[in-house]
Amino acid sequence: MIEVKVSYQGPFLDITRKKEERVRLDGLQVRDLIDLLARCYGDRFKNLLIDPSTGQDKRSVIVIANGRRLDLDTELRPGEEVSFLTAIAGGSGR
Amino acid sequence: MKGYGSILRVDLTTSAVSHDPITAELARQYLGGGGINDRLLWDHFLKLDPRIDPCSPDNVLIAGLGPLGATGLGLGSKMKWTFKSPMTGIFGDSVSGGNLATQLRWAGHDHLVITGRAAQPVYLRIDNDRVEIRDARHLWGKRVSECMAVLRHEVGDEEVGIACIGPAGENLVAFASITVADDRSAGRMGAGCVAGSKNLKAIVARGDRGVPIHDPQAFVEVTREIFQAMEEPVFGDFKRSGTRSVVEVYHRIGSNAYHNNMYGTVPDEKIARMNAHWFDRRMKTHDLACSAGCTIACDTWCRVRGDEGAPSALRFAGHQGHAPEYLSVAVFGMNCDLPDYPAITYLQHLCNELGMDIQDGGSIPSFLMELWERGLITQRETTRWAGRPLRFDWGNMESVEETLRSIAYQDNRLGQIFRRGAYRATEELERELEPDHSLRRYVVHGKGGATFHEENRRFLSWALCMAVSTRGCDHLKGGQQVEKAFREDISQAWFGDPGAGRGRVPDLKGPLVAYSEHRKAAFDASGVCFFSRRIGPLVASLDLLARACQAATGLTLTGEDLYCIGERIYNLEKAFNSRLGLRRADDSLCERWMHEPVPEEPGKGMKAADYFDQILSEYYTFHGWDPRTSLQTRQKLRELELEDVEEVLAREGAVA
Repeated sequence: MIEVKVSYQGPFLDITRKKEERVRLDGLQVRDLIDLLARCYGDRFKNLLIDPSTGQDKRSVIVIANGRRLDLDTELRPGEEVSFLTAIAGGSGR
Repeated sequence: MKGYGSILRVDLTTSAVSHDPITAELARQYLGGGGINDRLLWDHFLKLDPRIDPCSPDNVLIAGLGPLGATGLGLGSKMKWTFKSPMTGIFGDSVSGGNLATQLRWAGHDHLVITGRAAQPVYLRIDNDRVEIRDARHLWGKRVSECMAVLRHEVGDEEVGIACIGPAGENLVAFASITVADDRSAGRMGAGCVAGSKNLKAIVARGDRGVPIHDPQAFVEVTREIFQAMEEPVFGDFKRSGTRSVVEVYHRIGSNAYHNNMYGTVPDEKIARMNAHWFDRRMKTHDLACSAGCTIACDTWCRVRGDEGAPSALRFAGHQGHAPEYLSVAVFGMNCDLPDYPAITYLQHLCNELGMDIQDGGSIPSFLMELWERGLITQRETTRWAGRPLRFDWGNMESVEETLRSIAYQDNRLGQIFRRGAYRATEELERELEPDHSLRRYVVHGKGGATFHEENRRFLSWALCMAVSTRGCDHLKGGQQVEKAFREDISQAWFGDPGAGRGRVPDLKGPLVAYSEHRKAAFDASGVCFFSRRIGPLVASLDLLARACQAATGLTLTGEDLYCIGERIYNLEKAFNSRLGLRRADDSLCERWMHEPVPEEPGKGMKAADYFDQILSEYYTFHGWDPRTSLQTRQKLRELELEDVEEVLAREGAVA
């Protein structure tokens, strides 16, 4: 069992209604973390990340740790800070 | 041509007003908006030495809106302003929302070309076909909101479209902006300075005709598809928080700059006071669209209540206005270290009131704060410059305000030193301060202008796009979300290889920037807001945009055709700069990004010098330009049907 710190932004925050929390999980992969959070917050949370029709992760949202995108089968490290975000860049249109 | 208006020309020296049609050939080659603007700029400078002073009456100020703007397509209406930049001395353009563009297009004028210089301050009053040059002496000296209020009263029309300059433009501050509809600006590159040099205080327009659509049924069909595409979660987040949603994302990927970019990470506790969540819960009142026909509405109206718990909340209690963009948060909140939304909101508003670019204006106090921290300036200097002992310690609000005010009004040494931005101020500062090394190493700049305030050393395609952009140093030519959002799927779709979506490696970063420049140019020519790409570049595709353009105008267009138009437009901008002598050595980065390693993880130790040359060469190669000189090849210019451009460049020794 490992413990990670999880933070949420945008549509994830709408569902969790908390900015961050510590989570203990049995598995090691990002997929295990998402399954755990889906049990807690429902399929709405999972469907933000994974297309239910294909089982593939959506690319317009990202799971990040240490400045890198994590794939579903990436192994998490104890104490890691994992963020659920929308994939967006650039901040001015002038 | 159906779906198009005319080109309205106004010579402020002679008061002559004329109209030119947009020919089918011009539309086919350049589509409209920024594309036709670029062609008009190129043609204007065929009769002139392109090296003229940008503040001379010979410069031209062109405003244009493409064929999808001012329609009900749903992706906004963004006006492009094009000119020779007084900030950098090269090609200049800038984009604005607001309703001026829509009113102009509804009046039948897709492009407005302003030349010459009026003998005294004037404003342009356009009411459908009627065009008047009116006395503006009573408006000169007024800040933007007061000027707009007087103009609305004067023409008796609250809904009229207005753009005007503030004191910064009147006083020829090189990075003066044109403010459109209160808090929306054509901010970059000094459009307001060009207007000021022409004694043009404002443009006021009213149009009642609407826009004829070639095939309304097909147009509605495309619109429906766009609405369906807006189901994506990323879209909802952007709709709610606009560019502020970037604060948190950038914090997680390592793209926020801090303390004049001496650091590439902002402390957690400061981000907690600058993220979109903080703002939306405390200050946001409702969503806004900044231009006609936008269903995304990423703009926000806000109000300071006074009890937000931010340091400046009480001071600005009652202030209402447009919410800060990410840019303002980055410039003031992070780089000047003011993690205080009421203050950031006010400073953004102040820049728009003074008619000054936030990016260039805001980079000056953060540069001064670094000099202060290093002991290179003290109260002795600031007293000499500003007449009072300003302190430039990080987060000093009073000094930020006074710097911006002084620059706009040019009434003290502080303002005068920085009239042309931080980079050009260093010559004068070095003479006065006699430091034992160059001060330029502390200016985060590109081609003499301020950069977009992000940490870019970790993101190769962003470092590159800043170095090569035709308008100086920012992200709005070749910037994209492929690398920062790790979009390997987009890279796969565009290049048949996921490499461009992989962070911190050089794979495909050169082609990614070149390809994005062409796409962006096509968007800017169409008249819609480039932020519509936030729906997802694979959804809001060039194919979709091409179908919309075809339905609107009757031009036969595919996504590929549109890409080719974008490439032609970008090549014309490149050719403009080649005439001015720009070569490979000019496509470079400031010392901080090139040689100083990023001090923290992720990517600790990265600096552009380690990868820059390789991706720059690959960028030129993808463009079909000569990697040694950067110049365009004859073959590429012919491929793009730019034989006449080739002829000019060949005559001036500016073709490979």
